[in-house]
Amino acid sequence: MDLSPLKNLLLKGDPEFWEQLKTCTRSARDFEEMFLLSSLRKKARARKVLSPKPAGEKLRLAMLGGYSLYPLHELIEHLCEVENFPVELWQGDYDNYISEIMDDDSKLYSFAPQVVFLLPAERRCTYTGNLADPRELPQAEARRAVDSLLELARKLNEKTGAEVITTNFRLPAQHDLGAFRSRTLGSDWSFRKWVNLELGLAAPAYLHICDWEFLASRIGGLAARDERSWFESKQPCSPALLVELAREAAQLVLSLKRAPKKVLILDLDNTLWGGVVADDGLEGIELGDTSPRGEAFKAFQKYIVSLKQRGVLLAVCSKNDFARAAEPFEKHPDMVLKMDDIVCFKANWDPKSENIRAMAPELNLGLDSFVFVDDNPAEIEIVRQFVPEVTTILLGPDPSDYVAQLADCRLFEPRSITNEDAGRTGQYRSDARRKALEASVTDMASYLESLQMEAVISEFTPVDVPRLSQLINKSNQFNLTTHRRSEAEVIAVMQDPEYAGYSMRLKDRFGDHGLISIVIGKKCGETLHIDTWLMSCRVLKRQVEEAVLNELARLAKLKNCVRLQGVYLPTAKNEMVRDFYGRMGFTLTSESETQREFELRLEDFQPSPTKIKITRRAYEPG
Amino acid sequence: MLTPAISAKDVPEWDSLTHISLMVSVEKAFGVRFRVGEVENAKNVGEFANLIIKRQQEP
Repeated sequence: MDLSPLKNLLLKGDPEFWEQLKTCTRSARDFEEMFLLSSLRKKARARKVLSPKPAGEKLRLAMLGGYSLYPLHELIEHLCEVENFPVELWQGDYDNYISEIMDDDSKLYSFAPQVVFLLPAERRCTYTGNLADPRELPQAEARRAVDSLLELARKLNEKTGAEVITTNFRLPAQHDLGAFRSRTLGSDWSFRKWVNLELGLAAPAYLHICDWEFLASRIGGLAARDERSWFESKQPCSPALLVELAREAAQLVLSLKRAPKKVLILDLDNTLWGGVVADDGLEGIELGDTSPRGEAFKAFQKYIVSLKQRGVLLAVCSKNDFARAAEPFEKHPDMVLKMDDIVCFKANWDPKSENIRAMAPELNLGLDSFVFVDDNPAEIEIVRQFVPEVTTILLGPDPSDYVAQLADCRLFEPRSITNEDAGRTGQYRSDARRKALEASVTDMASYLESLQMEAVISEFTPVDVPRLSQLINKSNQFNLTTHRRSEAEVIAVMQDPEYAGYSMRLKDRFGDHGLISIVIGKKCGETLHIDTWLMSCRVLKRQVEEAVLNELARLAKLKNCVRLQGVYLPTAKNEMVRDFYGRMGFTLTSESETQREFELRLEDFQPSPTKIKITRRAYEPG
Repeated sequence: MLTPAISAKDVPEWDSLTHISLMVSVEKAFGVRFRVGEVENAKNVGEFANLIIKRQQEP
């Protein structure tokens, strides 16, 4: 990579340096490049080149493990800083991690980390018995190895509340035993695979796996090793794998703060099929088993369907007449994607940037949750220039690479997958039918009645925790306090008697919306303070707000409170609820730049009747 | 000014990151592979240069 443009920006002290540094870092291929970029970054800091304000406070990241953590620590620091998430690092002493974790007075705990990155020693993940031992013995030892690692993570999380990232274990790359390696659980090969599997499946929500086994396999077991650097300076692996390890750790840290993307916008010609449908017609486009290129496009469509099944919404943006563009979806026998899979289908001759921008209010989602893919660099460029919040991927030039390009983009990695994710496309399509009904009915009351809405109010249950945490962390617009909580913190609220929380599920005659509102209240003497009130924007102005307030008031009275207290904490995205409490009958009690406080005296409150039929599940009596 | 007598302790920004990076770059540039521990034994730039020549002749 030619770094002279970057060096010139540094010499001139140009603030553009930082954006260019980020771009170069994202495409840096090897250790030397990363090292160079990191030293340029440090020089720019030393010369105080004007940089964008960081996204938040410095994140306290502790690193410890059975290796020397220099220079891995610097790579991670660099990768986080160029994404505008500066970290404050603490490193443990070489191979002292067990005592640093188990000793209540260790310096690790005085550092008070928010995230801990643990690299347990690979050399100790090995079966100590005989290769001829029956399978139960290495299995039991593997279980013990996993349990002790889980115990270390549990202790860390319990003492500090930090999210914990741990590497798993690499597999040997030498022939060594030969084919016998897979006939016994006692070989390093099998033993470590087994430990990794058990670890992944048993890891609690606060424990994130930095999948070293996967990364080493991806670059190749031989390229991953560097015995010499282990003997010389206790390095965990080869410089090439060190870069991948640092990238993965940074990705995990950043994903704690950034939600995955939600919408994939697809071009059609030469993206979903070979050729141009307007010129080649339905019979002339390449799709399916009649040609290798056709097979490649079909495989790409199959991969895209798998994204939809884990909750990604699909949209189309194509320069075509609508009927021509829709025809393959409706009539081509090898078309894997169907019209039903697409939540927003825009085929016209307007600029793609305008079409994509219009999708945001239609889907009620922010542009920054969109990803646009196209094989045409001109289309990618126009979207980059006019809708910069959207992430773009230029596909090509070979359709056989399309699946890998999308599967490697790292934009759609979920933290958990729930049943609601699988049904998301269906929900969005029901919304379209509801909007059509709304357009035909002019009287609000009869419209709401015609929806035949039913809601279930439920206290939080363990099976809801992943979905609750997902909503709590992704909801931006109708969110009064944007109080984010990890799954572990949601569980803590459930178990704390001072808190009262409930969720609401809504369905109507067109379909099931699923879980659409979450409320968490905290009892402070005679006041029920509303810590969290969020709602899915898809159900705005349907009296869900009134139904939720009715329930809150009822709960508050049950807990012997005389007032509800709500607070609005402004963010860049929740302007819509600035005066929500006011509209619901609360009085504004104080106002500053950082918050607006409201109060509702329960003796003044009358529950408002709604067109929603409410049932309660697993709830307090009364 | 790089002279044969200079060693790592003369360079303020030297650290293990610089060391690893230098070793990898030199191996690539000169087409050599150092054996475990021998770069550490080279006390300055001059000795390092001699080591490079030696490994070019005797991989």
